[in-house]
Amino acid sequence: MKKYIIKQLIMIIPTLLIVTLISFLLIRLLPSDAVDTFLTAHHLKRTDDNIALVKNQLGLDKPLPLQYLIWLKNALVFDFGKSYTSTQTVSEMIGPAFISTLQLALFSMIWIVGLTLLLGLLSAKKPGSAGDHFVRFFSMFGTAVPSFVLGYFLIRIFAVQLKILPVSGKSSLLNFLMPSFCLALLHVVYFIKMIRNGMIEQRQSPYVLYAKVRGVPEKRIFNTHVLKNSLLPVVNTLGISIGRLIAGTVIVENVFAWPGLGRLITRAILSRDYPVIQGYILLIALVFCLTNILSDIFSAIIDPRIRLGEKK
Amino acid sequence: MDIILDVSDLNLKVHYDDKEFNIITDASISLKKGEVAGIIGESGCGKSVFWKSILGMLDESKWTIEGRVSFDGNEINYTDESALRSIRGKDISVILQDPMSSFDPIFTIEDHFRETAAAHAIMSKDEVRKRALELLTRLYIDEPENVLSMYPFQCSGGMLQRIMIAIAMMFNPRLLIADEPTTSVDMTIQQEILSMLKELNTDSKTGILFVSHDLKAVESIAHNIYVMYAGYIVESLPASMLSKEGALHPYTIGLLGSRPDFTKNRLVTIEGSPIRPDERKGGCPFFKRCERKNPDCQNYDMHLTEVLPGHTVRCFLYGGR
Repeated sequence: MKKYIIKQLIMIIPTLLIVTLISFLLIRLLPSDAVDTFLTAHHLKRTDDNIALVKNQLGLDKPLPLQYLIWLKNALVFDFGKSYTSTQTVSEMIGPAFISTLQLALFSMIWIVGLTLLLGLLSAKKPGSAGDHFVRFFSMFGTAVPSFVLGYFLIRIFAVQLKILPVSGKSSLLNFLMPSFCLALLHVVYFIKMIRNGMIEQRQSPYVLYAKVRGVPEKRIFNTHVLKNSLLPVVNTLGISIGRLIAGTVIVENVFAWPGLGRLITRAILSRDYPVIQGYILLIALVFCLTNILSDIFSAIIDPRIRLGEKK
Repeated sequence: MDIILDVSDLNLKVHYDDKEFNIITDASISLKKGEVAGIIGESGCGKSVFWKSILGMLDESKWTIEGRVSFDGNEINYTDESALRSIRGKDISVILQDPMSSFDPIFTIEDHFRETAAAHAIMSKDEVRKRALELLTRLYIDEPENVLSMYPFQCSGGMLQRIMIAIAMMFNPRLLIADEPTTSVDMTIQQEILSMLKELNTDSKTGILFVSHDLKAVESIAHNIYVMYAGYIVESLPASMLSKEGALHPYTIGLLGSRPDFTKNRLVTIEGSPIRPDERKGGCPFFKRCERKNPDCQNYDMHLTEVLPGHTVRCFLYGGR
């Protein structure tokens, strides 16, 4: 297991190289170029002189491979360059945004774990019951309603009509409730399905029969054997979904004016702010790599078959 | 003569799609103390459902169960779930056919012992451990201390089967139900398991209900044999009489004939496959496959005929009127 983790950690390096190289090239395929937006952002006239000057200053006049190598060389010492549209460095912009998004993602995690356990158990305990039907309706609703619709709907009810939650921004803990719920909903639906199917499947398994014939009480069979075994894959996937939460905030952050990565990257892409886009992609790639490793470690802790290795 | 298990006229019906199907009809079995009874039949003839119904493990919303089951002289009350639970694993233990998947993969062998103990008694960790070690040693498991801390996937199938027997013997049950215990282990281990069961039977006077489709295994261990077909016990006879000369029912003789044998050139089989509950009409369910069929068999009421004391048969040829 240790060997495996070290190997995975080393694998991060080539992964990041490939990801940044591909994204570097893709960004430059975007129509309309960075020079134009830079000129507009800095209220400069679009003269040939200015264009040449800006190109030279931003290093855009150099051949592409060289541009990438320069970026890479600076990135190695954690210098990700300066934003084209503001006076801040990329680190100064992404740092705080990442923190806010991470907070939002962790808050969503609470929703996910809580709702998944609650609703998953409600539906799996007695398939076909009223509770199960309710959960299935909820799941259908969760899958069908896009998060921006849900977001405005929630704002309308809780912020505008009931006036119990703030509309947008990030000034208090109450601000977390709506955006994190919107962010969590799709994941919750996914995990409920996983738990429900897992439990129904586990219930048919021979070890449940074996526990029954040994006289183990029904309640214990459900709470220990069935529950633990159906939670294994959920826990494994949960780790990976942290990455997806962080990378998937674009819509929710824009709906709730959340000062996070999602909004930052939307603006950066619209204004062809190459350094910010590059920095963002590097960060997200790193987050995915790390959460994957984390979830592997976590699975190994709870599942002896992974920890000790299946017998060959 | 104390009779441990007495099942009389057990009838099982399953509801499916608003219809009812007979799964077991008028099955009676009695097992004396220290005796081994073998139930034999092809897959799908109702063997497993039979023992599950004895232990009250069938879902009552799907099954209708009629008949009387006495254990150790007392009739089992199937409405008392907690009483049933305390019988299972303590007075009547079961070993299952698939040891590799019968243990919960994320619990150690010791956890399984401990859980079984906790279901029936208040025992300290050390007491359980002591008892487990004693049982594992008795079942010839090497390094029992190590085995206790292992996870099921670290053990072989034969080992798990023996561990299963060890767990079953935890409270010295009076009856052990063995559901195809030799099916999923290889030949050498089959012999090992059989001899261990025999040993337990002679040493501890544990009655065994041995359910299998493996005629050879049943023959080698059982005192009495019940041949099951489509939910009927079509023939019951002492094991000593199980031969082409002693057995009467064409199905039993067919089973005996389809045993692999080195003197034969070709393996003889019973044509066709067991009848499904939804294909059943009146008369003998074996009619289609029977070599000695006779038009009257289709109207036969499947009543039981005692041809000799301890030898009963349900066949038109021996009981038709």
